[in-house]
Amino acid sequence: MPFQKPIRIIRAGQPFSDWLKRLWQRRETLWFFVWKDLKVQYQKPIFGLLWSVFQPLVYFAVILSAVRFSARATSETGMPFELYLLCGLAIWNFTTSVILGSMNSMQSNAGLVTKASFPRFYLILSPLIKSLFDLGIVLIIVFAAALWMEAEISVLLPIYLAVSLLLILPVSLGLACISVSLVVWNRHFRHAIPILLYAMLFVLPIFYSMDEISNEWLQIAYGFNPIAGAMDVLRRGFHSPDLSLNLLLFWDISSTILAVIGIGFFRRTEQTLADEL
Amino acid sequence: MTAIEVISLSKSYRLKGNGKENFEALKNVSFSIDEGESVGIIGRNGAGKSTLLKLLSDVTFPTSGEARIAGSFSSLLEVGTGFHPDLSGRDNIFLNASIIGIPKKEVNHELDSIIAFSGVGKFIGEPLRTFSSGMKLRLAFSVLAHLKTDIIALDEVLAVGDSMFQIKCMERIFDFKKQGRTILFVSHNLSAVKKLCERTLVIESGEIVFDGKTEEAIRFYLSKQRNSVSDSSRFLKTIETKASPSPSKGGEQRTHPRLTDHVSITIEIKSLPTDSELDFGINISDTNGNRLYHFSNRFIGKTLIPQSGALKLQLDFKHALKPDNYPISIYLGQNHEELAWLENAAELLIPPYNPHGFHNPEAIQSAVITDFTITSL
Repeated sequence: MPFQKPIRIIRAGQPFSDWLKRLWQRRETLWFFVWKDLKVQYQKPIFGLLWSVFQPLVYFAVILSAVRFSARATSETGMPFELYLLCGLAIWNFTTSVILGSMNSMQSNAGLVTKASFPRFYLILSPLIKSLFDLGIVLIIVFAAALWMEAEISVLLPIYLAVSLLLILPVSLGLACISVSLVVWNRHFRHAIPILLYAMLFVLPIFYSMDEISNEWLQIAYGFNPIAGAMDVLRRGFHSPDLSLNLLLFWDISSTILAVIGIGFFRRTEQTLADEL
Repeated sequence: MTAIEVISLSKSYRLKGNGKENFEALKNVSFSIDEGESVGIIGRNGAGKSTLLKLLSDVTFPTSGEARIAGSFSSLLEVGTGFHPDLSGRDNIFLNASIIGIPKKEVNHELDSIIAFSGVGKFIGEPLRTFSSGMKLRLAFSVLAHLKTDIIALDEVLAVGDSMFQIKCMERIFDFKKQGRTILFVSHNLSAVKKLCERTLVIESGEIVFDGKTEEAIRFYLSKQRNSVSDSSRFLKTIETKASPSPSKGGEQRTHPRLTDHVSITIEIKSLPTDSELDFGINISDTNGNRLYHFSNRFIGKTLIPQSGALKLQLDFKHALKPDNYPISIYLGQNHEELAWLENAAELLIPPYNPHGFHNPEAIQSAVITDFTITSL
């Protein structure tokens, strides 16, 4: 043969650079995964849209009526409570759907994992991209709600939104990787993780503000919680822009650390994924 | 040029049940395959054939060792990987192709040909869940048939579908071979392996125990399956098989060519207890282990008494088997109790013979009858 053919080497452990390279080379397959999920969901566009916003809106209705019922009307948030709640739910819903979506995609594609070769990371990236799409739709609703309530909208909203995404994307990715690894390691986590995610609904400042909490330790914990951070940054887009750079740095660091730990975990899990499923 | 080089590749699985026990699915496997070779891989279930293919396809990773693959590689461990029931036939072509690594550009280019080859016709735009299983299979296979990779690994792809589909698959695989591509073929269908591959690896409990010519590999593999080699050498002295045209009766004139439809098997048995009658049985199976013919002295009420512990027998019969190799197993019993079961004690060869010019002799699945009449009424 006159031409030199590319050589692929198979061995235990794959260098991170190869891993990234392959992630890029097979990107078409990633788009096909995302395309499949979107196409299946949006075959009937009305239902597709409904499912994107169904969960956050149901929670919105439930929490709003609970809070209104308890006569805990306007909070110290400086913005309409409905808008405050919607921002929090949008972020929480995104993280939850990335984590549950990854666990689900790992399970529903088990047959694929044991029979075909493609970067396993796509099984986390594709639900992430799809959730991002859904988040876009929810954010359009948030924005429409802000206009309708005549809330104060900061000119820096696009920047706040971008920063908020930069915080929430690594966290969600990291948590999804960790969750999937835990489930592969021990199946019982499949039941435990959804429960923890619902607990997050109450632990995170979704329908209350951290300022209302006097406990010093909780305040510090809040300073390190990038999910709460993403909510906070997004909300700043709708009222007084007094973002503390210190806090942002902490959120950013913890979000990056979570992503690095998550990807590290996943790369270990990936090695035996086809054997464990 | 070398297409695949495997250097002491090992894979062990952690067993979750009891402590930290490991199961070695593949132990220090080494071999190399040249460009354009068709290599069969045979072995019992759980021997490690699929593990080897999964390692080469990057589905899972080795525990130690290395493999180098030169050129593009695709493996078909399953027909229709990644099919989604709610998407249309056309969408599924793209999805399936992408998962097995065919770029979208190539699929676009070949789409009409893929759809035509599948024979699904106007249903191509309908959701896959409305397809019959046969249609799904044809659609999946037509994607595979348009693969352009240098090396193709197939794992039991032929185990699905009806016989016509399997024949179509086989023809396509032969096309791949003619195009000079490297083929790795894992199968339990020994006759398919024999047809396709010049060279075969036999894998047993994670190790390559034979690497050589397919004929010899199959013989080796079948002889390994004898569950009592000691019995075989203890009772069996000689065994000979012969297939020939049956002798013509009473000066009858044959004007057409004939199959070798007469078989005689001559067996010398030793070390038998002398005191009682012998139950003697012969079984003829195909290479896939289907038991086809049974013979026993009891069927015809023939009494066999071993004189001084030895016996020489000749079995004659007329068969309708198509040309192939057929393993012969022998049963020996006395007083209604089993003395020995000699699995695959010998092999019966019906030589290739196609005097009638069948268009596709491969399509004959079992019998060829030549002893019949056709009368114009």
